[in-house]
Amino acid sequence: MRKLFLIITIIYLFVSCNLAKDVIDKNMPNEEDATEDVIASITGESKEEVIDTNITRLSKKEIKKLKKERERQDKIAAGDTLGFVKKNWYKYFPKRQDRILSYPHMYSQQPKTILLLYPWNRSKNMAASEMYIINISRELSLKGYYVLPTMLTMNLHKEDTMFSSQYLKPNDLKKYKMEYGADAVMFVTIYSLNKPWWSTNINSVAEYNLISTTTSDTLFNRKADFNYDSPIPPYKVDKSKDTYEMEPRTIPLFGTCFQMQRSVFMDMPYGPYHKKYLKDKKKFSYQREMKYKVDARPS
Amino acid sequence: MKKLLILIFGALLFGSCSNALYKYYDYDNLLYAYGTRDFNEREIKRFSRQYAKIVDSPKGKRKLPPPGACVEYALLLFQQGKTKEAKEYLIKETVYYPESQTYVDSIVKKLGL
Repeated sequence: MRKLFLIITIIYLFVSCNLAKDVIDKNMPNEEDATEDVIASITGESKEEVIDTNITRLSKKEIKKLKKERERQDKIAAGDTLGFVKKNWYKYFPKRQDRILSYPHMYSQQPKTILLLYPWNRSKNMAASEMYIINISRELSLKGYYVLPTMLTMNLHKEDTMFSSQYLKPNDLKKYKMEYGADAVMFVTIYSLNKPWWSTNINSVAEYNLISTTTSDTLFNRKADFNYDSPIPPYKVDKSKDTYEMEPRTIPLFGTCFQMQRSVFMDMPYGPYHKKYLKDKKKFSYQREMKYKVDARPS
Repeated sequence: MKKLLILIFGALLFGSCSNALYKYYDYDNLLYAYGTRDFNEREIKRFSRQYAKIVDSPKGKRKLPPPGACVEYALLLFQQGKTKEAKEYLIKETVYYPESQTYVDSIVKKLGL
């Protein structure tokens, strides 16, 4: 009897505690509701009623359609408006574009003096910068521009008093206008210049940027991937007596650089010392990214 | 017929002539050697002797030394202590290429000529 009484009291205690907790929870005001009610009473605005929105589930077909539509809109925003067929057609048969459209700043600003900065060499060939700078300066001079002496650029780079294309920012160009009278500065980045031992092909990849020192506009920009694969040597060494001779291993690489510059600057507008200066506006121009291959191996 | 053949031959002969603005001789070899080697005084003398051909006997369409060649030669002369001759070549550069004036002025100032 005593035991039963004890059990009943314990059960009663448990139930009453739970009941008391429920009563307290029910009567306790919700904090958020209370603040909103207070604000509503102050401002005099009625509380907004939240209406449940209808959620429609799309089918797989509809999701695909929506995705396609979004991709199309993204393409239009990025300026890619050509269709698949047209795009591939222009890839293999590029549309002829006049030089005045490709290099409008070259004709409007008419630079005369070009400073060739020491190229940023990212290739594994240690002498790639020298090979490039010599050939580029020669090619630009033959195009009719006044190119500031390369030997002095090399000297300045050796003395560590002139930065290579790697470190110079386009904002620093004005000082070259003041100091050297350069109208434009050529930045060159060499990505590769190599001839693998298993192949006869010589590959060279580089990027060129000609930037105006007065307006900081890009006058000429090109990324070229050049391959030379031919038994005909790319470069004929001038064999005058008592001259410095290049190493036989260097000649093909130097020659490839020489051939590359000829094709890279082939469509560059002529300079003031050339008779075709400002007369080549309607001549052809290549695409900005150029892949060029000289493949003349006997079959 | 004979005349036509002569004409065609003549045209081919003229067409094959170099149309370049300047004659560079062995400028590539020289400059490559300059960039990749360290020259002593004796070597510089030999180097400038070979370089003189580019400046003193210009050929090509313009019959002038290539842009910057006179400045480069002047620098070689300066390194040999021939300051008077170096100054002459710097003046020559400004005469051939007037836009080089700012550059030549800065070099004259730097070398103290």
